[in-house]
Order: sequence, then structure tokens, then C-alpha cells
Amino acid sequence: MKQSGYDLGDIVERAESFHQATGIRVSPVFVEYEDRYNLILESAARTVPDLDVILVDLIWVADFAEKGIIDPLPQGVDKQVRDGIVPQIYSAFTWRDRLWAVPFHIDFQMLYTNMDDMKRIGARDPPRTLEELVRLARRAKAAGVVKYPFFDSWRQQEVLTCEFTWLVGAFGGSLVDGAGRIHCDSPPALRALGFMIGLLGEGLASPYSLESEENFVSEVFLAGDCMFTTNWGFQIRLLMKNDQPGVKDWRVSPIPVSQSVSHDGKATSSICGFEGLTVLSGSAHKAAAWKFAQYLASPDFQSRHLEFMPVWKEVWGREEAQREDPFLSIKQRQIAGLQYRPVHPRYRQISAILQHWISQALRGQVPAAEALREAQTQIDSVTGTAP
Amino acid sequence: MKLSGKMILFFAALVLCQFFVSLAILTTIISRTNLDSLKSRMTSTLQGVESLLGETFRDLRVKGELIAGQKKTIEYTDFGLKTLLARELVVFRESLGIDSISVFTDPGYPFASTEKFAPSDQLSREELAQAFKGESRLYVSQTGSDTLLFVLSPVRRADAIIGVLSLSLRVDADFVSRIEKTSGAGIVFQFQDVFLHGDSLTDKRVQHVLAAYGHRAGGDGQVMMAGGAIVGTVELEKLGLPGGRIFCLLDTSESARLIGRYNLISLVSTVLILSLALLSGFAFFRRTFSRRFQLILQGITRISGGDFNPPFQLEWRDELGQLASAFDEMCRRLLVRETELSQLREKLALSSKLAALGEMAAGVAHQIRNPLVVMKVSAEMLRDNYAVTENREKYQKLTSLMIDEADSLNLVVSNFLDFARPRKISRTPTSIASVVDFCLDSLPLERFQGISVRRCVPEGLPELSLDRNLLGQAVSNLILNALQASRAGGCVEVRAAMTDGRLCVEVQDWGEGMDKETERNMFNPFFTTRESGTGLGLSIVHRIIESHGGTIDVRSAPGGGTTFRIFL
Repeated sequence: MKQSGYDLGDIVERAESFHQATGIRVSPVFVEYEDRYNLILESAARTVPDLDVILVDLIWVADFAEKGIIDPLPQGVDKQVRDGIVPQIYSAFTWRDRLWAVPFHIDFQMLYTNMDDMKRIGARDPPRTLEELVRLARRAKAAGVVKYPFFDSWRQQEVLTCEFTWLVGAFGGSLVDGAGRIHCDSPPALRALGFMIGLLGEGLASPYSLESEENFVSEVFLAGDCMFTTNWGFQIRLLMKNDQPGVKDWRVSPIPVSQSVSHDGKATSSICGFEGLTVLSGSAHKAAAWKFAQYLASPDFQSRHLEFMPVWKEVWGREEAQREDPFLSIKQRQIAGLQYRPVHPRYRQISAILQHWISQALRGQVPAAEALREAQTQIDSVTGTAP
Repeated sequence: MKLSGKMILFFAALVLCQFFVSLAILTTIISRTNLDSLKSRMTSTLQGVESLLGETFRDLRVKGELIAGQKKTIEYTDFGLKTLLARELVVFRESLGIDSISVFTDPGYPFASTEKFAPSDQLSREELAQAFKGESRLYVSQTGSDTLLFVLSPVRRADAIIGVLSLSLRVDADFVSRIEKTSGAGIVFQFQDVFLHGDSLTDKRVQHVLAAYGHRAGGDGQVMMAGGAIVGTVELEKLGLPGGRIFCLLDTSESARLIGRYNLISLVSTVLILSLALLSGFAFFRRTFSRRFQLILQGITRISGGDFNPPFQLEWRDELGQLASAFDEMCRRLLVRETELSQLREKLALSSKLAALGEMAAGVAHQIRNPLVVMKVSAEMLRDNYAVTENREKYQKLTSLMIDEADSLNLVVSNFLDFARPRKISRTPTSIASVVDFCLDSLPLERFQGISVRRCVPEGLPELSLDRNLLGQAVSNLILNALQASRAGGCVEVRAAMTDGRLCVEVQDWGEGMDKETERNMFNPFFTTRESGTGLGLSIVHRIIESHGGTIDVRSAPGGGTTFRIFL
């Protein structure tokens, strides 16, 4: 899954600044996202871990917490987070009612609309509902504006779970029910999957979406080869500095939901991809480690790097934040509609099951309902829960 | 005209003649060789061009199939990602050196292209349709002035043809020039009515050659002359491109121009070299011949003017040097002869003078001698037969004086007669020692008190056939003269020796010697430096020695004595 974040130089500079301020020396270690999970496990397995502060994906939090690798936030830090960050963000790091990481970098998907194509079919604004999106796509396809108006990251990877999660939300559901059970064969889930299959079947979504991940999707959108896509925040930065032939006029907006869920078209749905800073429970320098985690994730640091969405409410209100990020208000609206992937110690396995069956359904190899039913059965087996 | 001028003209004419003959022969040989070489080269050029074009076409096909088979090409085509596909095609175009690449999803307007204005109007729908059936196509299309070489390759996904990739190469002057650079020949690409040529040819030249070539098309691979060029053709049909032809031109006029240029360079070089050769030859001629010739001429002129001193005395080692040396030698000999001749003339003059004097003296002496005898006899008779008492002593004294004077006159007359009388030499084997001894015995040496005479005549000298009396008279005269010239206490030395096969008799004194004037005249008759001398002594010596075939010379210096040398 596409991971974006602060530049490594910024982190090193921050660590140096921390050293000057506190006398505590920090040695940053950088690894690829795909290698990070295993590195943390290896370090934690040592008697004294060689890592103190770690950056965790929200989907690892329950896993690490259950394994005893990480500790919940100290009381003071917990309070600071809960007071300074909106619940839609910090709750992503909640497991068993405790916070396990300080939100550091947040990202979420938004709707990107190719206004060049929209103009060709006489449309002025991005769709406000999923149904409107489908209608516009049909018009564009019929007009020969674009062969496949919708293009998304539906490759059988984590991103597919992400896409499915916000779609379930867009149809009024959630992958986790009120009882905390993972529920993937709910009617909204079925409608979400049916929506995806319908787009493919009608030729509105590119079959190539099944092979694509977020980077390529952004390339396609930047090239102007699709009219709609949903993608993470990095695509905004790419669009703003794009000088290649392709889309000229584009719009970023909150991902709309189904008309059946939001009659006024104001509700949104999206998927979050957060990372937070926490401390290994075996760390020999816990106090210093939490100090650095707070220092690194502080509003002061984030206000200096406004090209990324800040997590602190106080930063959102600053004038320079409004000035530097013209999409800040849209992002704030989108945050309100965030959906969460299931928080579970065996999330990786659960996600893999979902990816498999959704992909099977999208490829037409298994009917949607059957696919979701099978997925539910397997997930129940993994989680040891039953309806 | 001088000899040098003639030589220069002859040399220049010879060289130029040789040059033009050589030039004509060489030009003919080079032209023929060049023509054969060009024809041979054309044959290999045609093969090279055919190979190059074949390779180009194959390369285009391979590139077309390569691009059409790329995963991205297939997927972007299949999923309608036209802009991304166009970007990929641009990458292929840049990396593979192709003019344009397009992908068609139907035989109409291109789905994606590297060009803003895709050359759909230049693409043959018929060819595209064939390509959509799965055939790779190669053909040339013309629109206006543009000529494009197309390769069409089907884009397949699984077994289905989802599009056709069109790859085009612009056939223009640059394209032809590239072939020209590779082949080294002028290239004309003909497709239907379009003729394209490379940078090495002009429109006018192409028209001229092709007009001359006309309809004599001999077919693929044949070589012929047309319009001052070797022309060969490659039919493109056999390379899968019907209707096309490549003309290869190797310009003979260029080689002719080069030959002419070389000839001109040769001519200029020859004239320059010839001029240099003539100048240096002229300088050499002047230095080694003309100037020396003038010297020799001047020398000969001097010789002809009577100056026999060797005029050159140079150390030239060549033929002129030998000539000059020969002239020098000739002059030396002439000088010797002249000296000898001069001496002979002097001797002749002296002899003539002496002969005349002798005759005159003989006549005078004869006329005088008889009365003188009568006078002497009369005086003797008066003195002896007539006794005079008075003044007898005076009478005796006067008559004796008369008798003495008569004797003295008689001696003079005898000398005259002796001088004038023809010499008859009576040769007998004579020893010079005996001659010297006779002279010393017969001379009144006692009259020369205080003067010694040394005789240095070695024993064993050979006897020579000489007139003993005459030679004794001559030696006696010389000794007598020496004694008379010597001072008191002096010495006279008589020597004899054999020198170079000749007998040399020397008489030397250390007396007063002679000045040059005396030395020159001493052999003249009646020349004397003494008051009582007749001046005939040395003349008689000279005549005696001459009559023996010998020579006499003298070496003397005032105050340094005198040496007479007789060579017999």
C-alpha cells in the first residue's frame, strides 16, 4: 500500500534538534514500509530491543498490543492526544479502549475528478453521490470521452481492503458492527461489492484497476486517462506539480456516499491510513523515548510541514495552515467521514481473506454474495467469533 | 644564343615533353582504372545498400513487433489508457530512433500516438485492415511532400488482436543521406513519382543523370554509365516494398575533376620544379662551367698574347680542371721553349756578330799583318845591322820599342785571326785532368805572386772525345782571367766533376766579381774591363765550348768572386 510521509531529512533534523534541546541523542533508522513490521518484531524479540520509538501502521496496533510489544500511552500523553486531536483520528489507534500510539502522519483517500472530461460531457461539479458518479461515468463513456471513466486501486493487496472499507461505509455500513464483530457480508457490504462489480460489468471501471495499485492509479489520473478515481493525499501533491501532458483541470473533493445514505449529498466516506509513534515495551529508555515521540509528533513540527495533513486541531486553525493547504477544509470534511478497517490482532490475516474473496468476486469468478459469505466464514474462523 | 641558353631550352623542352607524355599515359591509365574501380565499387555498394535497407526494414519490423508485444502497450491499449500509452510510445520513439509511433484500435483515427497530429490520413486503411487481420505490413505512403515508411504490427492480447501498432520512419533527405553516409554513394530514393536524394546530390544533377539513364533500366543490381555517373539500382520490391527503387550514383565527373586537379597540380609542380631546376642548373652552370670557361678563355687569350706564364694553376678536379692543367702544362713548356728560343736567338745574334767581326778582323789582320811583319823585320834589321854610334842607346831603345810594339800588334792581330778563324775541332779521347795540368804548366803563374791555384780534379774521371788544344786554350783563358781578377793572397780553384752524365769544369775566384751589365756582355767580342785587353778572350772561350756542343755559364756577384762552369 502506498505510504507517504515526512522526508527523512526532516526526521533527522528533528532528532538533532531534540538532542540539542534535551541532550538525548536519537539515531533514526529508516526501512521500507514492507520491512518495518518484521523489523519491529525482531527488535522486540531481543532482551533489550535496539529500537525504542517505532512508527506503527494503525492496522498493527492491536497485533502489537496483544503481543505485548508496545505499551499504551502514558497517562499524560494519552490526555494530550485526546485533548488535541479529533476522535476520528486518535480512535484509529484504540484497542481495548486504550490508546497505543501518538498519531503522527495521517492520510486518507479522496475523490479526484478530471474536469477536462467533465467539461466534455457538460458537467461542472464533481459528483455528490455515488449514483451521480455512475451517471456521469456513463455519459462520458457513451460520448467516447474515455473508455473507462473510473479507475481505482483494486489490486489484490491491502488497498483493496481499504477501497472496500470506504465503499461499505458509503453504503451505510461498517466492517465492524456495534458488538465489535467483523461483519463483511452485511447488506451494505454486499451493495458495496455489487457497486464495484457493476462498474466493471458496465465498462465504467477499468478492468486494469484489478491490477493496479495507488501509484499507477495516480499516473493514470495525471495522464487524463480516467475521469474519476479515489486515492491518498500524495496524489494532490503530484497533481500540483505535474507538468506532463494529461489532465489540466482537476478537482479534489470528499468521496461521496450513496444517495440512499445521504439524500443531501453532504455525507462522505473514506478510508484512513494513519501511522503513529509509540514505544516498545522492552525499551530501556522509555521516558526518553516517549519524550522524543511527543517531540516528533508535536504541533510545532507539523506546523512546519504543512504539505502534510496535520493531526492537531490547533494547527488546523492556524492561518498559515489555511494558506499553505488550499484543500485543508475539504480534508477536514473528509476526516469526518472516515471509515476504519477492523482493529484486530489478526488483522493481516483478516485483510488477506477479504482481499481474496473480493478479488474473486470482481473477476467474476465467484458471485458477490457467495464471496462475502465465504469471507465472513473464514474471518469468523480466524477471529473465533460467530454471529 | 649562348650555349647555356641552348642547354636550358633543351632541358626544359625535354622535361616538359617527358611530363606531358607521362601525364597522358597516367591519365589514361588512372581514368580506366578508376572507371573499373567505380564499377566494382558500385556492385559492392548495391549489395551494401540492399543489405542496409533490408536490415532497416527488418529492424523496423522487429521494433514494431517488440513495441506491440510490450506488456504496457498491450494493457494500455486494452484498458484505454491512451495518454499513458502515448507516453510509453514517446519513450520507445526516443530510445529506438523512430519518427512516429501510433496505436490504432480500429482502422480509423489512432487511439494513441507520439504525434499531436497522427498521420492517419497517410495510413492506408486497406493496410491497416490487413494488419488487423494479423499480418505485419511494410509499405510507403505519400501525402504531399511527405513520404513515410510504415510498419504495422498487430497488438495482441491472448489470441485477440486488440489494436495495430503503426511505426513510421520518414523517408526524406535525412533518411537518404544516412544511406549515403553508410554506402558512400549518391542515393536517390524513388517511390512512384517521388524522387528523394541525399545531401551529396543536387536536383539538377539527379535530373541530368536520371534523364540520361532514361528507360535503360537494366534491372536490379545492374551497373551502367549514365550522365557522367556510374548508376546502379536496387529494386525494393524484393525487400517487401513494391513500387520502390533505389538509385546509387557514383560520380565519375568528380573523379575526372580530381584527375584534372591532380594533373594541374602535377603541371604546376613540374613547372615549379623545372624552374627551380633551371635556376639551380643555371647557377651551377655559371659556377662550374661558364665562369670557369671565361677564365680559360681569358687564359688562352693571354697565351695567344705571348704570356706563357701558367694562367690557371687551379685545383679543379673535373674535366675543366684537367683542361686548365693541360693549358698550364702547355704554357710551362712554351715558356721553357721561349726561354730557350730567346737564348738561341741571342746566341745566333752573337754568333752572327762574331762571324762578321771575325771576317772583318781577319781581313783587317791580314792586311795589317804583312806590313807589320815588314816593319818588324825592318826594325830588327835597323837595330841589329846598322850600328849607330850616336845616341846608340836611345837608338837601341827606340828600335826595340818598335819591335815590341810590332809584336804586340802582331799578338792582337793573331788574336783577331784566332777569333775569326773557323774552328775545326779535332777530337781525341782526352782526360780533363791532363788538360788542367797542361794549362797550369803552360801558364806564367809566377807573374801572379801571392795568388794560389788549387787543382781539384779527382782521379778516374772518364775521358771524353774533345779537342785537347782548344779545350786547353779555353781553360787557360778562364784561369788567366781568374788570376787577373784575384787580389793578392787570393786563390783560384779549378774543379772538374761529372754531373748528370756531363763533364763539368769550374773555375772560381774570390776576386772583385762582376755586375749584371758586365755579366751580360762579357762574352761579346771586344768587351773588356781591362785597359790592356783585346776583349776577345771570353768570346774565344765561348766559341770553343760552343764548337764542342757544350755550354758555359757564369755566376758572379760584385765583391763575391766569379765562377765559370763549362758543361761538356
